[in-house]
Amino acid sequence: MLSILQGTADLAYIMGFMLAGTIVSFLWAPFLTRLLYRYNVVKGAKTELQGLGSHAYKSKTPVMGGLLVILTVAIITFLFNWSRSFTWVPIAVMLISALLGGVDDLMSIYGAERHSRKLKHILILIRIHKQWSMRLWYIITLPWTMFKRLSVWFGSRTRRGVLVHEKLILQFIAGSVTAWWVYWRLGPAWHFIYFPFNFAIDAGWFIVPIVILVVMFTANAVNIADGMDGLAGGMLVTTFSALALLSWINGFGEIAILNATTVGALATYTYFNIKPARFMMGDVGSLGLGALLAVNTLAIGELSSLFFLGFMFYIEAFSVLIQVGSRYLFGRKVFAMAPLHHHFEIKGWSEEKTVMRFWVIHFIFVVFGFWLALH
Amino acid sequence: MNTKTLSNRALSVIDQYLHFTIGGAVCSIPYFNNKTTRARAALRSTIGKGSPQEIFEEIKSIMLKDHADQSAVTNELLKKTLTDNNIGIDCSAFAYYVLNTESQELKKGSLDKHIHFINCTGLIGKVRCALRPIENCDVATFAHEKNSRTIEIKEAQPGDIITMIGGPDGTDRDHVLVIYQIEYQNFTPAKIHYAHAVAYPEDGIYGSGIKQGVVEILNPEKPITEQVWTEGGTTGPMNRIYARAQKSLTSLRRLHIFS
Repeated sequence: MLSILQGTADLAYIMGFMLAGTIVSFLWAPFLTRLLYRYNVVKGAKTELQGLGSHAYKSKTPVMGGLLVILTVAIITFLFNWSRSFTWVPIAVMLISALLGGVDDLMSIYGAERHSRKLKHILILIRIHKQWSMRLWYIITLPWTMFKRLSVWFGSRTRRGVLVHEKLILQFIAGSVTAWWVYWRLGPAWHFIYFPFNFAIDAGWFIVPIVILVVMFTANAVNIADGMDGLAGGMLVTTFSALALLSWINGFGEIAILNATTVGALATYTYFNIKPARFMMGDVGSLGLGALLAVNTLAIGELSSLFFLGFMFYIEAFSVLIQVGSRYLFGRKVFAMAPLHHHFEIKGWSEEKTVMRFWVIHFIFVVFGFWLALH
Repeated sequence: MNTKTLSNRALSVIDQYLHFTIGGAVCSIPYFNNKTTRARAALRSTIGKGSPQEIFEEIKSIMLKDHADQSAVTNELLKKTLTDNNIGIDCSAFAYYVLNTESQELKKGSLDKHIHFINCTGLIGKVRCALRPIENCDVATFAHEKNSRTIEIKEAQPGDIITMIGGPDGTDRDHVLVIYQIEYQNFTPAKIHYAHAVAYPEDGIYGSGIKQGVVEILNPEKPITEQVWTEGGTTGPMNRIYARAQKSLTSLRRLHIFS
C-alpha cells in the first residue's frame, strides 16, 4: 500500500468539502436545468418511433447534466484545494475528457452529419484522380486514412458528433498527461503496481502504456454505463466515496478532498437524475468522471483495486466488447442488447429494478475492492 | 385431393416471417439483400440473414434506443422501421431457415452439417464458413450438384426448392423458392405451393417481403417453367416470378439431405 502521509487532512474537513460539493451544485442546478431546457439540449436521432408510449419523455430529457458535477468539482478544487503536486493533473485530465465529451454532445445535437471516405475509395482515387498532386496527397495521407477506417472497429459508427478516431486521439492525450504525471512527476514509488498482501511489481517505464490504457478504458467504461436514469450517478457515488476514504487512509489529503467534493456534487446530480430524470449526464460528465476515477486511483497507488472499485462500469464495458466481438465473428448477439443494463431491460426487468440491483452489486464489489486495498 | 406439407415447425418459420409480430403490430419481414449495401462483419439481422428471433431482438433493441413502447407501434410503422434499419431477409437465408427447421424435424441435424460451401476455399474461407454458415449459403450453393439434384415434377415433395440461376443479361440475382405444400391428384403433383423472400419494383420501398404463390401443374412431363404460375392474383407473363423463371436457368431441385 502506497502511503506518503503528506498533506493529510482531518476527516471532518474532508466531509466539509463533501457537503460543500452538494450545496454548491444544488444552488446552481436550477440554473443549469433551465439552460438545458431552454436550448433544448436533447440528443439522439429523431425517428417516428420516438415519442411513442410511456417512454416518450426520455426523448425530451436534455443531456449534459454532468456539467453540474464537472464544473462544481473543478471550481471548488481550483479555489480551495489547488495543489501543484496532487490536484491539478486530475482536474486537467478530467477537463480534457469532459471537453471531448461536451464537444461530442453538442455536435451530436447541433452538428451536421459527417462522412469520411472509405479506404477503398481513397485507393481508387490514388489510381484515377486527374491531378497528380491530389494523388500524391492521398498517398501521403494514406496511413491517416487507414487509422481513421480501422478506428471504426473500436467504436460505434456515428454520423454526428466526434468521430471515433478523433475520440481516440483526445483520450490518448488525456491518458498521456496522466502517464507523464505518474512516471515523471510523482516519482519512482508510482512505478510500482501494488497488490494486496504486501506484494508489488516494479513496472518501470511499462507503467506509461498501462496508465494510458487504464485512463482511456475507464473513461469509456463510465460512458457506456451511463444509459439509465440514476445508474451511473449512483454507482459513481459509491466508488468515489470508497476512493475518498482510501485516499484519506493512505494519507493523500488533497485527493481525499477532491474525491469527497466529487461525491457531494454527484449526490446532487443523482438526486435530479433519478427516474424520471430532469437531465442526463451526457458524455461531458461520464467521460470526465471516468477519467477522474482512473487518475485518482492511480494517484493513491491502488491500480490493482481499480477493477473492483469500478466493478459494474468494467462489466458494462466488457459486455460491449463481447457483443461487438460476437457481431464481427459470428454475426450474432451474445446479449439481447449491450451494454448489459439494456439486456436486462429487454428481458423484462423494469428500469428501477435494473438500476437498483446494479447499485447493490456494485456496492458489494466496491466493498470487496476496499477490503483488498486495505491489505 | 391429397396434400403434403412441411412439418408444423417449418411452416411456423414461414409464418413468423410472413406475420412478424411485435406488440400489437404485424407485418411481413421485408426483403433485404446485402449486395445493395455490402456491409461487412455485421449482425445477421442487418444483412438479410437473420432468423425471426434475431430480427425480433434487433427491433426490440431499436425501440429501446428510441424509447418507444412496443404497444404503441402500428403495422405500417413496424414495416417502415424494419425497412429503414436494413432489417430484412433475402431469398437464400429464408430458404435456409425453413429447410434447416425441416431438417431438424426429420432428425437429420442442422443443415450446415450437410451443405458443401462451394464459395469457401482455403483455410480462411473454411473458417469463415464455419463461423458464418448462413451468410455463405447462397442460391448457387443450394443449386450446386454437391448439395442438390434436379428432379422431375412428379417426384416433387415439400422441402424441395426451385432455383433460378442468373439471367440472359446477367443483371438478375440468383433466386430460390421453397416448396412448402403440394396437392396431389392421382399421386401426381397438381399444385405446388411455394414461399420466397422477394422485392418487386411495384412493391415500392415498404411493400417487399415474404410472398407465397402456386404453380399449377398442367402437364407433369413438361418442365416447371411451362406450368401455370400464380402469385398475388397474377398469372402468366404478368406474373413477375414466372417471367423471371423463363429468363433464368430454372430447375426443380432436391437437397441431398432430403433424398
